[in-house]
Amino acid sequence: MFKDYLQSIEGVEFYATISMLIFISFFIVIILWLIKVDKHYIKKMKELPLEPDSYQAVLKPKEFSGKKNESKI
Amino acid sequence: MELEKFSYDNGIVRKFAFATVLWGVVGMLVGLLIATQLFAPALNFNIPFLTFGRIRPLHTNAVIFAFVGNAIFMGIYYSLQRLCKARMFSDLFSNIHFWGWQLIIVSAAITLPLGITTSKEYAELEWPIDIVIALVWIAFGINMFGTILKRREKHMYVAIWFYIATWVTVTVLHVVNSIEIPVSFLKSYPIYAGVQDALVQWWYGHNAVAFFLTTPFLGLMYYYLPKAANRPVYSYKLSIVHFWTLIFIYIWAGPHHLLYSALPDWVQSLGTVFSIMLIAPSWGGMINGLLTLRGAWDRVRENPVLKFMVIAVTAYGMATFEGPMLSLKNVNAIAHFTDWIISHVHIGALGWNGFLTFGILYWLIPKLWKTGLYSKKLANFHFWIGTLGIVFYASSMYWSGITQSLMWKQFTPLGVLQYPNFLETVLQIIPMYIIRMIGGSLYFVGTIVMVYNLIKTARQGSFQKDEAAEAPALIKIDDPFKKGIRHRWLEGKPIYFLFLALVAILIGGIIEFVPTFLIKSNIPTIASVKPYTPLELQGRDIYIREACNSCHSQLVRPFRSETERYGEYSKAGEYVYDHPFLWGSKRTGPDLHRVGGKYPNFWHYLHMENPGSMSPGSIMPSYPWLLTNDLDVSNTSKKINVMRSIGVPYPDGYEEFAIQDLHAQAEEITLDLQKSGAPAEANKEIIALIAYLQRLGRDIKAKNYSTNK
Repeated sequence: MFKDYLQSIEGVEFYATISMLIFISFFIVIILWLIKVDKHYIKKMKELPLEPDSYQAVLKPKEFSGKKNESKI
Repeated sequence: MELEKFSYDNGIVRKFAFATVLWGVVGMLVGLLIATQLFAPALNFNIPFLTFGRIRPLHTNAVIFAFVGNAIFMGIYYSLQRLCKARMFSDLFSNIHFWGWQLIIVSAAITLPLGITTSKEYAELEWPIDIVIALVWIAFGINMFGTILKRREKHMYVAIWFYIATWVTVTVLHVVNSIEIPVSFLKSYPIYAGVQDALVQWWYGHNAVAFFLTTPFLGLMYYYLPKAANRPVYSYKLSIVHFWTLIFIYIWAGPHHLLYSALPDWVQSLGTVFSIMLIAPSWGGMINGLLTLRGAWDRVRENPVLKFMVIAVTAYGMATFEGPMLSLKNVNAIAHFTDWIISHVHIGALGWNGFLTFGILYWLIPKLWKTGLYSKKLANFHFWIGTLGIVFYASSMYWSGITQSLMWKQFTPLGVLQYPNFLETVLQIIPMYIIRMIGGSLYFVGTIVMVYNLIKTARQGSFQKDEAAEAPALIKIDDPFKKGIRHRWLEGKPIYFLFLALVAILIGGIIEFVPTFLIKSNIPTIASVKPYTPLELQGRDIYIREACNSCHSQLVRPFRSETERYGEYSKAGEYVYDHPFLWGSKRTGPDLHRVGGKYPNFWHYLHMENPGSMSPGSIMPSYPWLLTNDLDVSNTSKKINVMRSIGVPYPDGYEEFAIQDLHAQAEEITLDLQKSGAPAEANKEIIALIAYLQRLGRDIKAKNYSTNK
């Protein structure tokens, strides 16, 4: 049965190859991005859930926007 | 910098929290009832609405969509608002979502015991409810994306990625698997048949586990675990890698539910390969969760919230290692159709989903009511009794699954089956069913203790429906993070993100589906396989109504132990008129694919009235109502029409004569029954069911059996 199915699809041998290629290339892009990404960004993202739910009376502006951010503004 | 004033909607979070707890109790209670029925079948009280086949789907639906579903929404509505620094997009949509979802649950709780079901696991609800699900889900989506779009925090934390992937994938799954043609207001047939229906169903079923029970909970883990531990997640980079690999790979793995079935071999192999690959991203998530606590394990000893979360993440790791192992054909040959699978899913449900939900509730309720937890001691008690419950549950089911499977496969030195009577293998594991029930009860007791603890906590605190907050508005400035590849190409753009997630999950599905559908004409058709007669079709619908497929498979695998026990193994071509397929996923009773002609009509008649009379000690419930209920034949011609419209070759105009054929066949069976001494009447449901059972698997025994390609 295995053969019947395979032979009946034209170009079936490329299906698996193409899908693997799509996946691997996407994966490589992600890895490259992760290697090159800014460490401050990762740190900021990591701490996102731990930021206070409200800024009111908790922090002064320069503290919550991050040092890098502040220099920009 | 200006701070904008707004408020968080805690009211909607409280509503979902309440629903989570309520439906959790209900779902577990129904689970306890069916677990008990497995060693005390009389507990169906001969009432159709309380019979195992009908309420087993009630248990699974209640736990998955009511308990876990509401827990997901509770967790998302709280965390999304805070991560976006914004109130939910629309209070109206929040409420439509909440009440709509509860409406769906209530309609499930009504229709399933009534036997109104599509028979597709975890998608049993009939078409009108399917439409409501779609609408409510869209309301949820609009509300979620609306919130994300109006967020004050520029960056989308990884938890939100998981929420987005969940939403988009569940949408696709639900739509594709629910394409069905209505016969009446509460009855429909799926457009797919046999092998194709099985492939679509298990692509759905598997990914319901992936994208309803896993990805949203990983999102919740990434928010609530750092919150509870008060430290950031171990590796944000790891979370990104495992997110993309998880959603990409998961979608391919569905066929591992159909190993050794009539599904094309290459699809089965593809499913296995991707299942093995799944270990990597799954364990990436588990490791990330556990290592978040590195250097803080002393806090786990003191904090019940963290205890629950640690066990949850560990259970996730166990279940996601076991899953790929079960996808190996040699392991699957032993585990499939047995209690091993029941154990596997309960590690996930009780451990991962249950315990993470409990952990979140213990953290969230004091937070919402601005107080401390009423009793840490009771929470610790809950933790230990719950854990003990899981251990009892899982170990008994592993034991029972492996024991029974080995008994099924055991041959004597003379080469015949050592346990030819299926019932013997069931009676052997009854003690395990009792232990499982005890395990479930322990877990349930823990849940009740939690309910008490949470109510007390709420009583001592004060709830604020709208929590005032302030945050700076989102200003369109150049991103400060310049170094390396810019991240905003993706993560700051939710709609691109949605699109990419969609592409990632579609690839796998398409590559598996398209060939299996396109080659329809090349499936080795079997000339002697004919459509069901009208009476058999009605009987099949009774089989579906009573959910016989909850306990009986219709799929003989190509093993000697199975062909000896049941007969010729099942071929893809035999199912071409099966809308829906009824392969089943568990053999609490024997396979029925070759049951046609195995017993006389009279045997079935007595067996359905009281299974114990034919098989002493049987744990099958009695179905006395089948002997007294009149068969509803009013929709016969409609059913024939619908079947023809989805590809079953009934001749044109046959719907006019179908009812005559139905009566003629019913008379024939009734006469035979009466000859044997049964007080049978031709217009009863049992006649149709017997007609269907006697038809099963007989087509390929016909004299003109041949295959054409």
